[in-house]
Amino acid sequence: MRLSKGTKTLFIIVSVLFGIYAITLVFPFLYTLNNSFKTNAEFISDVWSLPKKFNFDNYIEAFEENNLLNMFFNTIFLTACGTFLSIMSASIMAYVLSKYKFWGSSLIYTMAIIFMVIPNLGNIAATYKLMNNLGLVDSLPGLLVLYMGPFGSTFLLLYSFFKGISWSYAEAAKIDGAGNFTVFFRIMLPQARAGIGAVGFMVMIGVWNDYYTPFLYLPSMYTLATGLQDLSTQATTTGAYTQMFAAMVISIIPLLVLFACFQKTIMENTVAGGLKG
Amino acid sequence: MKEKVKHTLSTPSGDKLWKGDKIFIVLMIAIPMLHFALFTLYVNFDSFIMAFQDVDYTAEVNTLKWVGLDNFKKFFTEWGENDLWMRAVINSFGYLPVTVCVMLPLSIFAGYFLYRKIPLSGLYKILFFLPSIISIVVLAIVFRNMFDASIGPINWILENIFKMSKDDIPNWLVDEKYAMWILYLYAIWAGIGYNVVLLFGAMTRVPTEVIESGRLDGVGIFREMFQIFVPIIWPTVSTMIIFGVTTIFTQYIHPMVLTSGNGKTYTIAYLIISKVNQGRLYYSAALGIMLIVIALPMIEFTKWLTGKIYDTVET
Repeated sequence: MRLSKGTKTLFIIVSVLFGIYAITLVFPFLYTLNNSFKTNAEFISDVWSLPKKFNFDNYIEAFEENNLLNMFFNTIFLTACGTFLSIMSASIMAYVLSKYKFWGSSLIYTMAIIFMVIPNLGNIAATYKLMNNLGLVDSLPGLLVLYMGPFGSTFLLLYSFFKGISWSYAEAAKIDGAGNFTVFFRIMLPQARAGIGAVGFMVMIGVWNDYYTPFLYLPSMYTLATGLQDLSTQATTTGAYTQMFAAMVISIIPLLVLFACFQKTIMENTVAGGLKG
Repeated sequence: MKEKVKHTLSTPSGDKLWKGDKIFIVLMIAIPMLHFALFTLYVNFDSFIMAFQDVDYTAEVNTLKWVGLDNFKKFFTEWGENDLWMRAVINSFGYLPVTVCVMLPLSIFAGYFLYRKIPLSGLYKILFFLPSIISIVVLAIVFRNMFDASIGPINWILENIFKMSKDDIPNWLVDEKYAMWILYLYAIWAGIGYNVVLLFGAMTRVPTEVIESGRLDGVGIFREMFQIFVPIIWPTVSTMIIFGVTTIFTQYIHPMVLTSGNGKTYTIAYLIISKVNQGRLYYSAALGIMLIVIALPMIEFTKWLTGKIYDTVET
């Protein structure tokens, strides 16, 4: 369809407006990256200039002084195990509830839906008390327990996903002598891998970036999120800005690389994710 | 979500469960259900109990005692003492117009122009999406740095290009006159991209015949945007409205990472969490109960209301 002159002009104006917003998104990161190569004195005297020479001292110091390696380890451990456990827990419930009718199955489903509606802010205090009584505060496994909750938007998506997979595959396998476990792990899970992958990626980003849970339940250990937040508060008093910039750059790189590799799939899943509304 | 109903519930082994099936089910759901029982059922039940309890500080060993409505009374006393709670309520409710009246129309607008493939729309789609994969802590730090009084580019520009004197330039995130507005700005800056991509996605699923017949009738761009697209993608739009209402009660992360509540930027949820952090668990539980009692009807009412508008439209 041909565009009229007026529409074309409008499109260009809007494109420029979008461009301005895009610059506000990118500029802060360029500012961070550029200044991460400067010495602190150089940065304070002029925040705009390009670094005189690219020195990686800040990056080395960030690793040596700030325990960045430790933060990385904690974050990677929590993300890997937390995502796995959370997805397993949600898929199991979604699969069993969507495919098996048993005593109490519809009650479980109804209760899950009802409790999803209640904002869990109401029970932070009780959750904290329970975690404390179970001795799970300030331990990495404790956080994993929190990530393991089966019911959430993940469950809803996977539930409709498993519903859509025909049971005849399972029947065929059962005739060949496969048991329930084989059917689930060998047939159903692989069939649902597209859905699980999409949901899993969102869970993964969520855990990697999670600030609130480690802030409350991991007071004496650092993940990247809580560690960086502390570094930035320290920087305002110590003035060690450029080191913090380096630490920030390092922390974003893994997600950016991941996004660059799977950009198309991630975007498509988000675009399709609108369906869940 | 509607198509879900169409599938009939298939029972795997006919109508009857075999013994093997039962063992399988029990083994599979044991751990998730234990989690649900402890961290959802018990915790909700205990929240309710805790709201009427407190630690008995007079006893030698830590014991609990029933305090009736004391925790609730404490809230009203605190409310009267200073403007802490009043500000928190105002700040929290401010998120509603910010998300529904500013962010949502802007997102529809932006999503529409991405759909129309304006110049560079492919690049913008990717850039707009970036904030949703970057850690909120990192986003908050870079955003805060922009507004920083000593190292921030914004104050530098105001001082050196607009020649404002240093004393006239506010310390944005500390000054209580501006801090909350900067938080709202952050909400839009960091949150709009995800909405734009979602709305864009919903628009691509609208049948092209509908759009084309509208164009043959000479429908202009803005009528097309709001009179053709919005009704058809209403489920996505209404999800965002419902989210906007929920945000009033669940927004704690912005003050937490941007200001730590300084500059009177606390929200209701932020205060409830900070009470937990201060170890005042039982008081916090009472606050949580009050929050749920107010939030649930409001959220459900919004769901009902958004369902009423355009309820004939199927997607």
